[in-house]
Amino acid sequence: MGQASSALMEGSTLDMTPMIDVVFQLIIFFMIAIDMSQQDLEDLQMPKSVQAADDKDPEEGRLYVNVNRKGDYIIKRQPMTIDELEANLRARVFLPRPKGLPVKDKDGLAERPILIRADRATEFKHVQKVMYKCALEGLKVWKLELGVSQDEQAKAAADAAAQAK
Amino acid sequence: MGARDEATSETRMDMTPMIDVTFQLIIFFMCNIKFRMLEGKLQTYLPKDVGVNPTQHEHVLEKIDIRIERTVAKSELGLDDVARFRKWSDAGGTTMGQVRILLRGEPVKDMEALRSRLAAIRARIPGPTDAADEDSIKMNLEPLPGVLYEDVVRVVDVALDAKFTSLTFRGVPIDA
Repeated sequence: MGQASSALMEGSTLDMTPMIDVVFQLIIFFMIAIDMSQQDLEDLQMPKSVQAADDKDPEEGRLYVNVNRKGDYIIKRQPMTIDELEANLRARVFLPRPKGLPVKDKDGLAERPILIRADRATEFKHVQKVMYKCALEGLKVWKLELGVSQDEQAKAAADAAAQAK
Repeated sequence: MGARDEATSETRMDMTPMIDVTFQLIIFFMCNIKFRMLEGKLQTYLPKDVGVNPTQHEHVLEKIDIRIERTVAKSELGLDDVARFRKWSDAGGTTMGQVRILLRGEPVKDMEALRSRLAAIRARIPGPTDAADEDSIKMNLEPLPGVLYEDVVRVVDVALDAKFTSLTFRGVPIDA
């Protein structure tokens, strides 16, 4: 009796290997997804905009500058002063761009755009400081993108009104 | 032979703690993950032909200046005012009334007034024939210190709605 039941128990042992494999795959996925999607993007409450263009397929290596409502400048989770920000941009703005896109235009101005993401309650002077640095000799960035969140409801209403006309 | 079987069954690893920890990790990552939401962007430019970026003057068909300023002088603005202002803004309220918009030097009442005045100006300008012409209709925005990012985005939104696509920012912060 005792021998038969212990044999039955051994026979019903669950093989955990596939489950552990799947679980580790999930962990690796989450670790990568967290890192890739959020490194450049601070958690900010950006103002809504109706006219904003979709930010689909951003250029690989695009420069992001986050400005929180206290006026701190943050790049890749790293808070920095405005002078450190300038040094960071100087080091990266003239790096080669993907697909052979030009780095400078005929006047020597940087062709690489910079996306400035600021909180809706950030004083604009902090964004202006970034703009001021962008315009300095040796940087000469003139293409700036202002990060906003899309006002889907207002956009749908505007589209409906345009169609009604 | 029987002794060897016993030894094998004794060395079997207990997977339970590892599975526990692994599930804890999965739950942690699931709770923390925020997938990237599709955001929007507003295309703007810094002036190419002034200040530290001197280039040849571009052909300008029409130039519209908009100044955005606070109605409350910065020196009069205490920390409490800033906090109240931000709380109001966070609650979804408008910041109009706290800011004044000057279109070509003349104040506009509100965003709707700005929208209609810009539409009227745009209707008077002959239609651009190509992209170069479109760029020759310049709109310069000059937000003064104290203005919030949200207020500027509102003005940019209205300008884009009125088909002014070449937006340029002017003005250097006082303490830059």
